Amino acid sequence: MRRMLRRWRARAADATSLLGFLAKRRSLWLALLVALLLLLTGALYVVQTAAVAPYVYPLF
Amino acid sequence: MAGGRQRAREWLTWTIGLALLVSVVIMGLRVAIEVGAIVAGGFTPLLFNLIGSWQVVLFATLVLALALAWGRGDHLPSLRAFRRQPVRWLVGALLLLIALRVTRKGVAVNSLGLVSDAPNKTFWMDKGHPQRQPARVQPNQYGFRDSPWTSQPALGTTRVLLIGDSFVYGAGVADYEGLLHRQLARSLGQISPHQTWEVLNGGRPGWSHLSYFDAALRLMRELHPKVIVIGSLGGSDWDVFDFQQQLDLLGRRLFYVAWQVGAVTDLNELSLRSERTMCPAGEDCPRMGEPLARARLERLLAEAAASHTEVVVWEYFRPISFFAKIDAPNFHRASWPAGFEQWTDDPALAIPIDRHPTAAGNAVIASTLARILVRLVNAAPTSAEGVR
Repeated sequence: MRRMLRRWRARAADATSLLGFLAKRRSLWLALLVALLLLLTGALYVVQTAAVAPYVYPLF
Repeated sequence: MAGGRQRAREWLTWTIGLALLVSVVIMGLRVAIEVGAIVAGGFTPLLFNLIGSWQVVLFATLVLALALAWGRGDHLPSLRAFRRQPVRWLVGALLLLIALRVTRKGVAVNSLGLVSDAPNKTFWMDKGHPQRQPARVQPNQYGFRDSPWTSQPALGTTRVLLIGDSFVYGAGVADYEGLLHRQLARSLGQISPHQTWEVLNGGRPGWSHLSYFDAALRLMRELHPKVIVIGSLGGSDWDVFDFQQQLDLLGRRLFYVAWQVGAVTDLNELSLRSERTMCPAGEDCPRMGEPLARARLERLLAEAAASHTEVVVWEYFRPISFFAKIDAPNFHRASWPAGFEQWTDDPALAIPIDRHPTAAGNAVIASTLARILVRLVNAAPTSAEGVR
């Protein structure tokens, strides 16, 4: 029982330190999210533009 | 040395911050115009397609990035630091100019409010493709790819007005004599030599059904044709936001702003894409623009009947049910004789990449269409002032 409790405390400590690590570098994660969203934008741009490329004409 | 590095870092953060700010403003304007046009046009189902578009995702990303930069504090200095810094103002103005793309050419619009070709235009579709050549276009006074038009046809001349998109405009043809209207005039002259024919090219790349019927009405009032031929591509002609529709909806000034920020191209692509999602290419299912298109076509037919003008729809591909439901004595449907619907499979007649007719393809279309038109004109009652 005591051993289980110790293990659980160790896991809780791990989680706390991970959360602390995440919180300390919040800007980094947000910047990564922005980078991922930019990648998603690029992928959407390529797919959505290619889908209509044969139907869009040089007009002006 | 340390001071120089710090100054460089400050400059970098300033430039990135300003670029972000300008991008958010421009993208916000772009998305706002798109939402406004969709709501004003009454095409609300397109709003759902807009949410998943790259423009909206990019806008959300830029807002998040700006909030992040501001939250950090050191990325975006306060506006107070902008005072007495003319170089920073200049950099800001330059970024704004780049973002607004003021280098984009303006849009030519003719006296009838129709999108036109600018003088000495070079039309080059699919630039770099081996089967494509640049076409030098000398537009007439209405901005169409034709010789100058007179308001009234000469006495005894039967005037035919062709309306259509890039197929009628001649996007696959560099040689003027290879264009559909020139070949149709020759075919009509050969089949019915005792009549004088004049064929006008009212084709504009990118137009859809909504613009065909509207443009046909405006050009009919101005040019008084005996026959109007509308070249329809069927299922590919249902985008509700072609360039002409946007010009009519937004007005010239707002259209220019929308063109500069990129909203015009976005709306065009969005409507094309959405039509393909809602109703796959080649299928004949109900389309978003049909009620409006029907109202416009019926208006055109009523006005055409009053001036003894016949309206023919030439269906380049499989005939669609939309035209089958139109019932008016001056409305006629024309298409290929049986067995010739697959004409685009022949590379001599159509350019394989996008199915545009070649000069040889136009010749075949012209001879088929000419036979139909001669029969129609000689059977139709003439107007009070005689054959026009």
